[in-house]
Order: sequence, then structure tokens, then C-alpha cells
Amino acid sequence: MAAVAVSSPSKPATGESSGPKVAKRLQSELMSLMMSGDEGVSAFPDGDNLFHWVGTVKGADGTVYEGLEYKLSLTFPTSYPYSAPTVKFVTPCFHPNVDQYGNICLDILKDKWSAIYNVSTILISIRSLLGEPNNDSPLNGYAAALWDNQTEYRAVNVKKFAEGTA
Amino acid sequence: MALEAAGTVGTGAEAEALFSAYARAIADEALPPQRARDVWSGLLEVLEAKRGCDDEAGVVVGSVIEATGKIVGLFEAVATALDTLAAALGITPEAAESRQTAALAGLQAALQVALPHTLFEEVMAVVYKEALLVFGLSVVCRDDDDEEYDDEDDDAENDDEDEAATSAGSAVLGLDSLTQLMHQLSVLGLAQASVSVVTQLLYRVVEAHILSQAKGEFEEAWLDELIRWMEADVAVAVEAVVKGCGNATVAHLRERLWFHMYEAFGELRIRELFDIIVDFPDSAPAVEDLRRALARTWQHERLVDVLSAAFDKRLLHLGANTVDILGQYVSSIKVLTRLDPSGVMLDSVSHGIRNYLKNREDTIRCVVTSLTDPSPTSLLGGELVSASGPTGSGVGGGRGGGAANEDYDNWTPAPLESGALSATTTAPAARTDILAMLVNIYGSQELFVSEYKVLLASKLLAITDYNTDDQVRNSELLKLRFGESSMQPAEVMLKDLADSKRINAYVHSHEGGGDNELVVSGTVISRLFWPPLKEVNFQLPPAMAAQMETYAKAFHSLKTPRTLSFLPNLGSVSLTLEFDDTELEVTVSPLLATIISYFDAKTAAAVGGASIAVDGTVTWPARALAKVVGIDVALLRKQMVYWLAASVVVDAGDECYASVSVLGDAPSSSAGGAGGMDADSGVASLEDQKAEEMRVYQSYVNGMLGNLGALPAERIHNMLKMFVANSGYTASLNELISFLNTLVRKEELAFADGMYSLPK
Repeated sequence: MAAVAVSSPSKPATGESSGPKVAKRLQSELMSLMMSGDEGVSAFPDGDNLFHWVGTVKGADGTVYEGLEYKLSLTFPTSYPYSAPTVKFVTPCFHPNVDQYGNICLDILKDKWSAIYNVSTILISIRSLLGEPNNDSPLNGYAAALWDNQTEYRAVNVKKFAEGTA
Repeated sequence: MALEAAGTVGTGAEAEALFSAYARAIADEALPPQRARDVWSGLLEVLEAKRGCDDEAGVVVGSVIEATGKIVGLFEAVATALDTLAAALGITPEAAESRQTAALAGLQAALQVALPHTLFEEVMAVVYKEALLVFGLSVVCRDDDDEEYDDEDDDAENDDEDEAATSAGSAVLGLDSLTQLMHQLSVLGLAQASVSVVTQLLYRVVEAHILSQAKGEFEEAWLDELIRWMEADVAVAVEAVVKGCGNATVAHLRERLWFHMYEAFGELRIRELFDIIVDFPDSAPAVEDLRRALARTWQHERLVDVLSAAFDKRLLHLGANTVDILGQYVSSIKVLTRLDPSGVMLDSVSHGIRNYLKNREDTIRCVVTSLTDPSPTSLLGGELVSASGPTGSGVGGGRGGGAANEDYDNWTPAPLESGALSATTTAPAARTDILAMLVNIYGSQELFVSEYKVLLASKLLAITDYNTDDQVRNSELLKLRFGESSMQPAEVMLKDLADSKRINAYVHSHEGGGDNELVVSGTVISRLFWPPLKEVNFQLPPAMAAQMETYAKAFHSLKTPRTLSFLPNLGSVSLTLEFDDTELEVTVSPLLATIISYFDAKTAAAVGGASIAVDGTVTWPARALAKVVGIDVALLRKQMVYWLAASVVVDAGDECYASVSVLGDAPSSSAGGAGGMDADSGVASLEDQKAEEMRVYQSYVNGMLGNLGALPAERIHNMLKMFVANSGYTASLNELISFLNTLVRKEELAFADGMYSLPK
């Protein structure tokens, strides 16, 4: 919270001229993302708009999401990186912290956001969230309840995934 | 009838008025308007009859003399009659004369009206052409190939020219008859009327003379010769031929002729300027002539147009070698700076060349190569030394600072003559600095320096005795020009060589001797400072590998903690191949040496996979050999071409290569040099590096296709343009498509229905 409090006063100051700077930041993020070649996560601007990206997260090996691939949408505000982008699952995701509309409950996208995060860290966080859900405050109670039984969870998950992507 | 009345009249004014009336009457009677036509009819008939045949100028002139003679006779008769009348009337000669002139002027006018204008000019052209011939002035160019020049002249002239061509040799008029003719013409007032004809004729005389004398002759100064000719021959002819026209006309005509002479000469030289530049510096006199002509005629703009067009047509196309273009550009710079020290023309002309050169891929390489070429014939060899000598302010540092400020006292505005053309201006200091102009084609010296690095790297790698004196000299000279900092990599590269020499001496002194004598000499390079080097990985023969290892160990002990990693494909190997009948010494690349080593019966037996005949010849299937060497078959085949050409190995058919036991004497010439080394400089060229840069975008393409699904090439192109940071993406759509297609061939991408996607 402190980080947001400190950085928010600077928002109005950057207001008008923030466009090019944000674009530049997003471009350089894209560059580093492309160059890093991280396995499992990637993202790219959707169409002509640099402020709207499509991300891809692959389920990590050894988790119930292994072999499944989820698309996400990332929308950046003009005040980025001082405020967090809006990130949603486009591919329906059966997960304790993801609701039926694809909204994600992840602290770094909400109150723990800081300007030092970037697209790459967001996607990596989401990828690890898949394998390690926070079952204390679930958006999807059924998934949270099922989590303890990994075999059954996997079966339901694969079924839901097939339904979602069909 | 008039005379009868004359006696009755008495005095002064009345008598004069009467004289006037009688004078008119007498004149009219002598040549009534309808008769004026008749006077010419004889001449017209001759002209009509002779129009078809061109060789009858003499007849035409003859009949002109005859006809004009007749009329002049009439004129004189009239004049005599009037004189008598005046005497009879008692009028003073002065008063009579003015009236007499008036009466005769009426006659002249009638005559000219009677003669059709075009016909008149035609006749006068013939007449004056003949007249000029008397003075040895011909309108016909004695040079045969003047077509080019004629193109833009009026077409009508061609007929006349042919006409005169045959009579050019011998004059049909004698000096006497000429004098007579000219007198008659001026009496009839025809001389004055034909000034324009004469002027045109004289223009053509001058043009023809210039063409026949000076065309294509660049090694002598012709302008002085022409001036002499104008002052002597032409001046005399003009004097004689147009005397009748009055002094003012003659003076004016002479002025125009002089200007026309300069203009025609300038035009000729401007058209030839491209060839003059080709011949430079042998054509220096022609350049000087042109400079003098330009000073009078201000044909600068024309020069820029013509020369630019000539460059476009003759030089700036795919058929011309970059070296030639550069050579021509350098000569152009020299020539144009002589013609116009202010450099405005040079700017205007060189714009096109520079733009063209910018698009040529090998421009920089050519500049660098010729710059560092020690041979005296090289294009720019001397340039480096001379240009960076005393002035040596350097392109990067000194320019625009001190040099520009120093002579602001002598600043003159840019000449106006090509003002409209001088959209680009070069700093005055750089104008005569040819090397700087070449380097600045690209706007910066960065590319130039990196190309030099590539060149230097391949040169240094080819050196086997660590002798870098030439290269050190070159690099010192370049350093004067480009500044210390940008040449630093080159400095490091040269130092690497010097260090290598020491390291090599150390390694040999410590590891040499014993039964396993060290035959390897290494060049140790600092990778960060060298341009990217081509790497081909293959298995060295065991004996060599052991040697390398020894070397590497010795290096490690000298330079702990550094270790050596070898680039086995670079360097060279001196081999002696022994055959039953002879020995062959060659210097080849390590890869070639490795390949041939496996054709040694003992080695082949140790490795296995080859069939060895009783006589010791070894036969390798291509596949097996490639596997042993550790390269792919395609590369092996490419390498084998060298040994096949040297007849050391023969193609045994069925994808097999066999060694020979007897070499014979056939290949002595082909295998003599270090042929295997030629094309492989070992240094990745700038194009290769560019292809490498393209690889960067592969990850973007992957990212795009991975997230957005299949996309057409245009979309990928646009997205790359939009999203690659700092607009580093400069490839064209076609370049992208060819790059994408290579990825498809490598099965790293899939292509269907015009869309690219990631393979499943």
C-alpha cells in the first residue's frame, strides 16, 4: 500500500505526457520479454494497440495444470507502471483464485502492486499462482474445496479446460 | 518622255519636287512591280531545277551573280539617268542624292518583296556558305560522328549540310567574283537583309570547327587554339562577307560570334564531361578549358543537369562495378572542384551518386579495401596519406570547429548560378577532402570503422608470421582521421597479434622439443574487440587435437586463469602430400587439411569406415567421411571440390571419394596456390551479421504467433514496425517474407493459407 501512496501523487504531474513514456516502457518490456525467452510465459500486443496485450501462460510441470495453456488479456492504464494493469483470463480457468469471468485475485495486481513489477513478473506470478493457490480467500469455492484432492482436481480441471477451449 | 518636260521647269524647290516625281517614275519604269518577279524568275528556275540535286551550289551562286548583276545593271542605269536628270534640272548633287536613294530604296523593297522570304533565305544560305568557303570556313564538320551533336540542332540544317558536304572541299567562288557578288548584294540592299542568315551560318561554322577540332581531344588545351582561329580566320571572313552591312552590325555580329564560340565549346565539353572525368587526370587541359568557358557563359546549371543525366544513364545502374562508380565519383570530385572551387556544383551532382552508393551493399567495403590497398594503382591509396597529412583535423573532431571559424574573413556567399540546386550543403572544410566525402556518404563513420574492422580481421587472420607492419601503418593513418577512440578495436586487434607472437614464442620454447614437436602456431584474439568470426565445428585429426591441447595448456599456465578456446576453421595449414611418384606442397584451410588427412591409409584404418585398397588408396563414402570429420555432407561435398580440382582425390562414383596413389603432373598449376582459402575469409561479413540481426526478430515473431495465433506477413511486418523498441526494425516487407520463409523451410514456422503460425 505504501508504494502506491508514495507514487500516486506523481500521477497527475505526468498526466499529459505520460503516453509516449508509457509506450516506451511497454516497448522495452516487450523487448526484454522477447529476448529472455522464458519458458511457459509470453505476451504480445494485441493488434495495433500497445496498451492491450495478449499473454500466454503454460501450466508448470508437476502441477495439476501441466500441459494446459491459458490465454490472458492485459490492459495497461496510461498511468502504468504507477498503477497495475488489468489482467484477466480469457481461456476459462478452473482455479480457486479465478472467478467465472476470468478475474484474478492476486495481491500484486491489487494492493501490492509496485512500479518495479512488469509484464514478465506478472505472468510468472500467475503461473506460480496456478500451482500454489491461496485457498483462504477463494473466488471459486468449489475449486478451493476440491484442491486437496489433486487427482480429482486434475480430472475436473482437464474436463473444464476442454469445455472452455472447445 | 520625262526629259522633254524637264527643260520647261525653272527653279529650286519646284525643281526638286519635280525631280522626286520623275525619279520615282523612272525607277518604276525601270523595274515595275510585275517585272520584279521576272527578274528573279531565271534564278527561281535554276533553284527549282537544282533543288533535287545537291551538288549544284556553284550553279545557284552563278545564277545569283547573274541575276543580281542584271539588276545592279538596272540600278546603275537608273542612277545614271537620274544623274543626268539632276544635271538637267540644275539640282545640287547633295539634294539629288537623297532623293535618288529614296527612289532606289523603293526598288530594293520591290525586289525583296518579289523574292519569297523562305526562298530568299535559302538562296542566301547557299550564297554565303560559298562565300565563307572562300575563307576556308566550312559549316560541315569534318568529323564523321557528329550525329550526337546534331540531334538538338534544327533539322532543316541537315539538308543544307549534305548539300554543302560535296562542295566543301573546293570553293566555287574566286575571291574576285566574291568581291563582285558582295558588292552587288550590298547595292541591292540584300546584304543587310541577310544578316540573320549569315549569323546562323557563322554559328554553324564555329560549331562545326569546334566539333571537328576539339571533339574527344581532352589532352590538349583547345581554347587558345580556338581563340587564335576566331581572331585570324573568322575575323577576316566576317570582315569581307558582311562589310556591306554597316559597322555597327559587324561589331555586334562579332560579339555574338565570340559568345557563341564559348557557348558551343562549353556545350561540347559539358556533353563530354563524363568522358573527361573518366580520363582525368589526363584530361586536365580540357577541364581547364571548360573552366574558362564557364566563366564567360555561366552554363553551370546546364552542366549539372547534363552530368547528372550522364551519371544516371551510364554509371548508376546495376551493370557498373562499385569500384568503378567510386573511381568516377572520386574523379568527379577532383574535376568539379577545379571547375567550381565553391563546391556548389559538386554538391548538386554528387547528391545522386551518394544516394546511389548508399544503397549499394559493398560500397564501404570497396572504400575500405581501396583505402588500405598499398598498391600505387589503387583508387584511394594515396588519399589516406595525403589527406591525413598536415591538415589531419579528422572527420569527427576538428570539423566545423576551428577550420570553419578561421577563414570567416574570407567567406563568400555561395554562387547563385546553381543556387536553386544546392539544397544540400556540405561544410566548406570537407569539400576537397575526398575521403571525408566518401565516408560521409553514410552520414557517420561508424559503419566505415566496423567495415574496416572486418577487413582488418580477415587480413590479420591470414597473416602467418605475425608481421603486422602494413596494417599498423594503415591503422595509424586511419586513427589520425577517425580519432583514437573509434579506432580502439583495431588497436586491440593489432595488439593481439603482437601478443600472440610473444605467447607463441613462449609456448614453443616451453613445449617444443622431445618426440612430439609442436607445429602449431596460435593467434590469440580478444573476442570482444573482434568482429564476429565464422564458426564451423569439426573434429580435428587426433594428432592435431593433441597438439592444440598442449598449446592450450601452455597458454593456460602462462595466462592463468584464462583458457584458450580454439576456432579450428580459421587459420591455415601447410601440408606436404606424398604420392608414389611425387610430393605436393599446399597451404589450405584446416578443414581441408583434416579431410585429406583421412585419406592417409594409416589414419583411415585407425578410424574405420573406409575401404583401403592394396596399393594404399583409400575410398571413403561421403556420408562416413562427413561423420568422421564431424560436418554435414553438403559442406563436405563443397570442400571436396578443392581436392577434386587438385586431382588429389577422385570421384569414385556412388557418393564415394578415393585417393590416388600417383598424382601425375596435371594439377601442378591448379593446386599451386592456397586456393582453398580464397572465399573463406573466416570473418563473418556485414551481410551475415545483418542476417544475424534478423534472428532477433524471430523471437518477436514467435511471441506474436504464440499469443495471437496465425498471422499474415503484412500484419507481422506492421507489428514489428510498431512494437520493436527504438524502431530498430528496418527491414522491408520482402526481406521479412524471405526471412519468414527460411524459418518455414527450417520447420521453425508453419505456413498455410497465407498465414504464418507456430508449428504444432
